[in-house]
Amino acid sequence: MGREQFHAMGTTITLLLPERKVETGSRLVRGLFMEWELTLSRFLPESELSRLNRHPGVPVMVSALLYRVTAKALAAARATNGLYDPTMLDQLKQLGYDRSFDELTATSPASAYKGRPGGGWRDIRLYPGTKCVTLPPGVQLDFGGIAKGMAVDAALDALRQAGITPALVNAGGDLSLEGLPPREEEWPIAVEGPDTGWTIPLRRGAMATSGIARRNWIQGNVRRHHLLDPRTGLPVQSDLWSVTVVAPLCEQAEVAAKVAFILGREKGRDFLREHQLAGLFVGTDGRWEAVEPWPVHLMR
Amino acid sequence: MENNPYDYDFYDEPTVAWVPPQQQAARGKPKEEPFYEYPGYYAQNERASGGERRREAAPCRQQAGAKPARMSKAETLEVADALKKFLIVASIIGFGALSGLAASHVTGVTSSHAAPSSTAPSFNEPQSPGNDDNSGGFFNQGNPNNQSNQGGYQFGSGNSQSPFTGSRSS
Repeated sequence: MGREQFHAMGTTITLLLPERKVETGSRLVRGLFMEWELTLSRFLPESELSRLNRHPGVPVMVSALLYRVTAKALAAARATNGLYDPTMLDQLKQLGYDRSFDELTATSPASAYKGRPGGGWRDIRLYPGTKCVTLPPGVQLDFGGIAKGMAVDAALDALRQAGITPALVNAGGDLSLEGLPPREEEWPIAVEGPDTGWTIPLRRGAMATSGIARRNWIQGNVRRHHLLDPRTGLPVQSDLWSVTVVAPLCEQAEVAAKVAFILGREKGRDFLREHQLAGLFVGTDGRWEAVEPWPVHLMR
Repeated sequence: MENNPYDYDFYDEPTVAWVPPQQQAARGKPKEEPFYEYPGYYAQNERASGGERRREAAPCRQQAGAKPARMSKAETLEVADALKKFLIVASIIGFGALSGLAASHVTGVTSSHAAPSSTAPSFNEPQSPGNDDNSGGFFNQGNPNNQSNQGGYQFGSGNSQSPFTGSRSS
C-alpha cells in the first residue's frame, strides 16, 4: 500500500491506497478536501459558511455542499436531542477559541463568560426547493468534526467510484476504510491512550475519537477545551480523556464519540448501545471501559 | 354579367380576374409608379433608391396581385365534408380528455387529503429541524443490517501485526 499525507481542514490527512493508484487517488482527495475547506471553514472570512454566518435573519441561497452539510448537522442534532449542537460558535469564541487552532496562543486573556446553553439550531430554517438557509438572529454555524467526518466519507466514496480500492482515508483520527489491504484480513488501527495505546483490527466501517488531548488551551488561569456541553455552554468537566467509536460511517462515529464524551461513561454507554455502536471510553488515569461489540479480547 | 364582383361564381372556371374600380381608372399608368400603398410598395421604391435593408425584407412579404389556386365545387364540398368530420371527432376526443383530467384532479385532491403526512415540502415551505420525526435516521444510514450488532462495520480477528494508521482525538 502507498501512503500520502497533506494538510487540510486544520489537520493532517493520511491516505493509504494501492501503490499504482496513489497519485490519482491523492489528487482526487486533495481536490475534495480543498473544496470542502474553502466552503465550510469558519476560519476563512470568505468561505461560504462565513458569509452565511454574516447574514442572520434572512434566507440565504447556498451551494449544494453547504446545504447538504447543514441539513446533515441538523439531522445529527435532532438525533442526539441537541447534544451535538452545530450552533455553539459564539460560545467557543467567548472561551477563546476565536481563530484556527494553529494560530491559537497557549494562553488567552481571562473572560467574564459564565456559559450560555446552545439550542439555536432548532430555529434554523431550511428551504429544500431553493437550497436556502435562514439562521435566526444571534446564531452562527460551526460544523466542527461532522464536516471532517463527512469529508472522509465523501473522499472514500469518490475513491470507490474511481475504482481505487482498497483505500483508507484518515483525517486527524477520523477514518473510514474500504476493502482490505493485499494479503491482510483486516486494517490494524492504533487507538491512543494517555500513557499507552492499543491496536484494533477493523475490517469494515469507520472510526473516530473525541477527546481533550489536543485542542485545549488556558484562558486566564482556567484550562479550556473544545468539547462543549450544549446544556451549559461550557467545556465538559469529567474524568474522561477520550471516547473512540466505530460506526458504519465516519460522520456517525464522529458525532457519536462527541456525544458519548459529553454524556460521560454511564449515559454515554447507554447512548452507544441504543444505536448499536461499539465504543471505548478512556479515562485521564488511563483506565478504560468498552461498549460491545468492541473487541476487548483483541486489544493489544 | 362578367365584371360584377357580387355576382361572381367561384366554381365556374376559367374566369376573368376582378379589377377594383379605382384601378380600372388607372390601368394605363406606368407600372413603376403605384398610385396606392400596397404591401410591396416600400420594397419597390427602395429598389429604385438602392436601399439595402428593406430590399432584404421584401421577399418575406406576400407579393401583390398573387392569385390563390381555385378548386372545383365538388372538391370544395368534399374538403368541407372532411373538415366537418374532423371537427366532430376532435371535439369528442377533446371533451373526453378534459373530462378525464378533471376526474383525475378530483381523485388526486382526495388522496392528498387522505394522506397529508406524505406530502413533500413545497419550494417555499421551510423545514424546521425541531419538529421532524427523523430522529433515528442519522444513525440508521449506511447500516445494511440493523438486526446485527455490526451491521455496517466489522472487526477483524487480530491476526495482523503493526498498525497501519491511528485514531486519536482530533
